Amino acid sequence: MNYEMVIGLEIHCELSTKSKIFCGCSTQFGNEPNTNVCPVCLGMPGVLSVLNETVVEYAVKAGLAMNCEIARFSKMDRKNYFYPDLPKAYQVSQFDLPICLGGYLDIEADDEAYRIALTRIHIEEDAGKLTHVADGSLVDYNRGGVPLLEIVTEPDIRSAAQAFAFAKTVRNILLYAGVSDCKMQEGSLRFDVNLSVRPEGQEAFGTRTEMKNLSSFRVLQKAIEYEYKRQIKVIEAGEKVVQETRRFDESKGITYTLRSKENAHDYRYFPEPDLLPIVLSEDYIQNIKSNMPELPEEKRKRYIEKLALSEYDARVLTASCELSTFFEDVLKYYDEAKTAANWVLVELMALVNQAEIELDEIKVTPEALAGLLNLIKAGQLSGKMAKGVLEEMFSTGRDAQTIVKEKGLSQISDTAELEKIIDEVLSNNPASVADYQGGKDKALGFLVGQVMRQTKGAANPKSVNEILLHKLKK
Amino acid sequence: MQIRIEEVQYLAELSRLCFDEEEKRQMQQDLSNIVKYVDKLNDIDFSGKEAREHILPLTNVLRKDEARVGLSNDEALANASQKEEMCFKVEQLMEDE
Ligand SMILES: [Zn+2]
Repeated sequence: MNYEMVIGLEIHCELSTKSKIFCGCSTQFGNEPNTNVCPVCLGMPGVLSVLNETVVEYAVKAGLAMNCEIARFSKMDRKNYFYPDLPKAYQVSQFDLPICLGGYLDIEADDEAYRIALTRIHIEEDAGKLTHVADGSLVDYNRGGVPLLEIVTEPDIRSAAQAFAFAKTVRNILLYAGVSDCKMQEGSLRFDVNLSVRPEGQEAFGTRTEMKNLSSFRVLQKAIEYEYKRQIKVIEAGEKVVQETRRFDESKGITYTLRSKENAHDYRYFPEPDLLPIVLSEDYIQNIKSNMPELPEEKRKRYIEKLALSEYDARVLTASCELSTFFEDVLKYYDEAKTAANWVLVELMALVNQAEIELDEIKVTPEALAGLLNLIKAGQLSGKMAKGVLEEMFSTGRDAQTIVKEKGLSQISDTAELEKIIDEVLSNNPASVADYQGGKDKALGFLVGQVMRQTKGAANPKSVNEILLHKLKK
Repeated sequence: MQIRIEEVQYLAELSRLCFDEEEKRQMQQDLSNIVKYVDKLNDIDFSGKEAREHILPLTNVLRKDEARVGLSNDEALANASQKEEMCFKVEQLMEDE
């Protein structure tokens, strides 16, 4: 029998505010443990939390970018559970009146388009970080109180590839909206997966399991693939899937039971009396709407209409915020959009992929790439030579001018010098000259090739052609 | 509503408190009285009153997104019963079993 998987995702994203959600502690990552803390985020008695206005603004921005309805009235609630990563024994979150409702995102997976509906987006505080040691656990509350968005989907996702594409799209939108740095390695984006399977054609959902805190796209995909197969095995063996939270072990590639539903947390949500309701006016929302950064969809249209890029190039560039930002930065110093797109997408990305690194880790700056492209434009470098220079720039981080000067590279546009080489080639290849003059046009290509060989590719092909034709006419 | 002795025991465990039998009975009494007091709400006539999300007639109390220095690590850990490597130390967590 064939089984269909049904997935709902919850995505947690740390907002890139300067300070925490309810106190003025810094949100900076990587500081020494318990140095970005104060009585509020340590949950000391008698303190008063005050909501960070930028958290509200970023949540509205993210909601608008994901087609949500923005709630005119929302409030904060306490979600109670006892675990040492929460010093207050409750997490301040939103329960029945979240800040964003509904919404959707369009994604593409396996060459098909899908629309994934969102249930809601709410704001909440992050928990502290636990490190387990032999005789106990160590708690660092620097992360406690960092503002989070929780983005919840409907159970609309049907494959690991769709989940992967959705997660990537969310990351991209959050980056474009400018509300989070989405640094995976710092845990700025984390995924919870609710997954069940059902026989193909069956309407009713099966029993679902939950996998929490998956911290990379690869892990997300692997965990889904494993859990899908596991649930099918359970069902085929005549047993029942147990509703429970499971943990994905990255090193072993398997999931295992974390806690079963029987002793699942009863969160006993209740309104947070220390924080006042959030009431958003039409003006407030309109103001954010009109100041929204350009989102991928608009950007793609602009690239095609204003920059005359191909549909394909525009789509690839805008599918990644890092890539389109890099491209636009190149255009600040260089004015031929099509050529720039080509060099970013083909030549530069080939090197990035080969090195198996991310675009934001490379040594070539947009300005430096533009410098290289300007040398080509000025006729100082051939395209072929420029590729070699780019490789050098990529590995050393030095700029094109320096490399060109140091290696004595430069395209031979000097007519006198070229004429000397061409004369030599002509006298060495009398047969080809005769062929050309006898009407065989192909012979010209051979002669151009010979000149390029003599100059090791440094001749300006346009000049070579012109001089050759002129001389052959004689 | 009467609080059961098992509930007192459960709450004590979660709160990391230790009660002997006598204290448990006393706690059961006190907690039951508190819950009973809340029951008084059932006697009040709320008809014609609109439900509110907050007791205060205020909304949008917000602060600017400005970071400031909080406590030093020593101050933060001053009351911790156990500490190690600049962290609070707690009992081994059994979540994964
Ligand atoms: Zn704080």
